[in-house]
This record gives sequence, C-alpha cells and structure tokens, in this order.
Amino acid sequence: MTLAYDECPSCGRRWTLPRTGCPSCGAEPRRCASAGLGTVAAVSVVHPSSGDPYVLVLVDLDDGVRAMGRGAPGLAVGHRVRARPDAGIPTFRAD
Amino acid sequence: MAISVAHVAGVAVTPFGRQPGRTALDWQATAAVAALADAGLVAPEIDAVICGYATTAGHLMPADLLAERLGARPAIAHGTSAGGATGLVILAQAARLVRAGDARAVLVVGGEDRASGQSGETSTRTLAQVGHAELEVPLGGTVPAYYALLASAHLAARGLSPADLAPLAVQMRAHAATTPGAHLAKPITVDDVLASRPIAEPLRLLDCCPVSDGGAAVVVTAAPAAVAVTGVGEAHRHQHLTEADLADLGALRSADTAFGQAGRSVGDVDVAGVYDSFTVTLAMLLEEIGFCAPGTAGTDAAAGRFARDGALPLNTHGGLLSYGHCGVGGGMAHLVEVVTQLRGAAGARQVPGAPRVGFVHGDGGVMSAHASAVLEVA
Ligand SMILES: [Zn+2]
Repeated sequence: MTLAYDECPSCGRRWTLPRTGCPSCGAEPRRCASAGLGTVAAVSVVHPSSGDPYVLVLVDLDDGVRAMGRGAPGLAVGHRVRARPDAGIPTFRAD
Repeated sequence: MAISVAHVAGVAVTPFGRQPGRTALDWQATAAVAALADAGLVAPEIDAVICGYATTAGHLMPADLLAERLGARPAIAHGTSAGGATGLVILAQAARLVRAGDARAVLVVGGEDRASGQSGETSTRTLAQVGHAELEVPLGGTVPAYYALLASAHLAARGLSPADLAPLAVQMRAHAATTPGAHLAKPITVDDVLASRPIAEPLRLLDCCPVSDGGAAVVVTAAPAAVAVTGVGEAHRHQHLTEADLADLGALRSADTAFGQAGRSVGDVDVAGVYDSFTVTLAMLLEEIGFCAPGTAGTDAAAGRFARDGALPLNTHGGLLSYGHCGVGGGMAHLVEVVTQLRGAAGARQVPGAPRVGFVHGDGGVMSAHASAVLEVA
C-alpha cells in the first residue's frame, strides 16, 4: 500500500480515495504518488478487544489531501510527520 | 390533484438490551404488529412495506420476508441500507410515497438481534466495512476508531477535552433511568465516563452506545392522524472518513431540506431526537445543524438544556447511548419517542408545555448518510 491521491486533469481538484470521476467537474482523474509529508489532523489510540493498542491518524498531506494511516506512539494533532511503509502499511512518524 | 400530507398513525418500540432467543425477523415483526395496532390497522390494509437491513440476517429481500410473516400483501416492498440513517431514510421514503399518492399506508420497520445474534468481534468486523476496504480497514479501522478520529479533530479544532463531551452521555443516561425498556439505566457521572476503559481514545466505553437486541416500527398514512410529517431531507456527501469534509458533513444540508419543506427552523423545535452512537456524534450533529454553537454541545448538556424541562428536550428516551442500539431500530427509537412526545403520551417522561414541533435526525456510516424529519402536531 503506497500513499497516493487522485488529481483532476481538468480542474485541478485533488482527493485521496480512487474515484472514476472528479466530484467537481466529472473529468477522469489520474493517480499521483504522494511524498508522504504532512501534518497530523486527528489521532486515536485504538484498544482492540484482543491484541495490543495501536495508533491511527488522519494526516493532512502537503499535497493538499487527507490520508489515513498508522501512527507512531506519542503523535498529537499539529505534529509534522512523514510516512514510511511499514510492512506495506503507511505509518506516520515525527519528521 | 392535491398533494397528500403524510401522517404518522402508529409507532412502536420494543425493549432494547441483550435479549437472546429472537431473530431479526422476530424483532421486526414484534415491532410491526405493535405499530399496526397503535394505528388501528391490520396488515392487509398496508400497501407498502419498507424494512431496514439487519446485519445478523443479511436476507436478500427483508421487506417481502416481513410482509409474508405479517400477512401483508403490499403493492410496494423493499429493503433499504443506509447505515444508521436507514430509519429516517425509510421514513422519508414513506412520506414521499404518500405525498405522491403511490401509497396510503406504509409500514416502516427496523429490528435486529444485533447483541445476541452474533459475536462482538463479528459485529465489529461487519460494521468496520463502512471503511474503505483497501485503504482504511486494513489499517485497523473500526467504527469506534473512525469516530475517535472525528472526536480528536473536533476537540482539537475547538480547544476542548474529552470532559467536554461526557455530559452528553450523562444526560442520555438520566433520560433512560425513567424509560421502561432501556438497555442501560444506572445513573452515571462525568467522572464515570472519564474513568471508563478506553475504546479508541479519546472515546471511552461510556462515550459509546451499547449493542442491543430490539426493534421499532412506524406506520405512515395519507389518512389524518395526530402527528404530520411536514418535512424530510437527506444528504450523502461521502462514504469514507478520509473523504469527509468536516465543515460540511451533510447534516445541515439534510436538516435544511426538511426544515425548508416544513417552513420551520431550528428555533421552532420543541423536542428533538438526534443520532447519538457516540458522544461526539451527537455533539457534531447538534453543532452542524445549528442547535448548538460550535463547541458548546457538552456545556449545553451540563447546563440541563437537553433535559425534559430544558429549552431543547433531546433524546428523552435515553438515545442510542442508553436506551440502546439494535441497528436500524435504534435510530427509529428517536422517531418513536418524538412522535410519542408530540402526542402528549409519554407519561412520566412527558416534556412539559405540550410540544408541537419535533425534529429527528439519523447518521449512517462515518457521518456519511444523513436523513432528517420535521414532525408536527397536526
Ligand atoms: Zn475536476
């Protein structure tokens, strides 16, 4: 799983999850790779009913889109982070 | 031809809780029979049946299944899936059918053995599928985790702490204490909420609704009844949290459509039922719709604004947080309660001052599907 986003070649709108058409103008988007740099927008330590706690984050990428990933312990809203693929899962750590 | 006005002629909600031994269809049928009796109708008089999904059943055609069980042979029947918004979505659909003249008596039903019909882990896994199959669920996304991320963003943007959400849970529990059939009735305090075990921080156990067995049903008719459906609305802006615009989730758009049809606004509402799967769900919905200023839902709750004798009596049965959550029927319980209050039939729970205007809102997915209704004393 690599961090990527969609960009509309017609109006320039960007978003994260793959779509068949731009929600603004309907044009067919192209998939772009993200550099993985951004700012934490939300963070949760999740406590599953079995297994160890883990950190989920929403990150506002510098590309102008929001992505979900795992996070390193101790992250807080506003922290600058960089994503590294961790066993295929994008994991954000303090940059 | 004059446009028919949709009325709510019958309502019913079963007790909620862990109540093994009945299937989803059993709960749907129990609620439907009671709502039909309340409306003074028998099943053969129903010309449309709309039934919400049940995760424990997964049946291909739940409305046909239910219609046969009841002895109804409707001209129109279909199941509907819009997550937690389903109950209000099918009420809206029933109102549209009646207004258009396509049906004169519509039975709207939700019911599920969600607590005892499957394991907790299966339930969590099933519900997590509202997340993106490739880019959210594999990260460990669950419904509480998605709402925890919403809570994190919400609290940070407004400079609040989890203690600012807890009063919402406390008020719902206080309402449930006097509601027969509530899943959770033991009073709680803000300290109890903050001391409960973490589920997905900042949300703790008492920020989350329980999973229940139960059902609810409503009969919508063209024939006059005590309560009219004067406005309905919906909005569907995203499916996945990653694509959500937190400044425009759809709740306000949905409510505005319903208020616009009714010629009403938030200030006219005497009694409300707003979806409260988590404390943060309720806070975000109340604030986006405009019942509360940004960041103030919790302080409003602490000040007693949502009590039965408060300025905006809210979820007076106890809501999902304490009456309980059996799936589609959970969101419909708010509708049943508001209709009961407008009828002046809530007994010990009755809101004083003869409420005339009610509002109900449902949310499905991760603030993904929104549906609203304005109900008024006819
Ligand atoms: Zn475009």
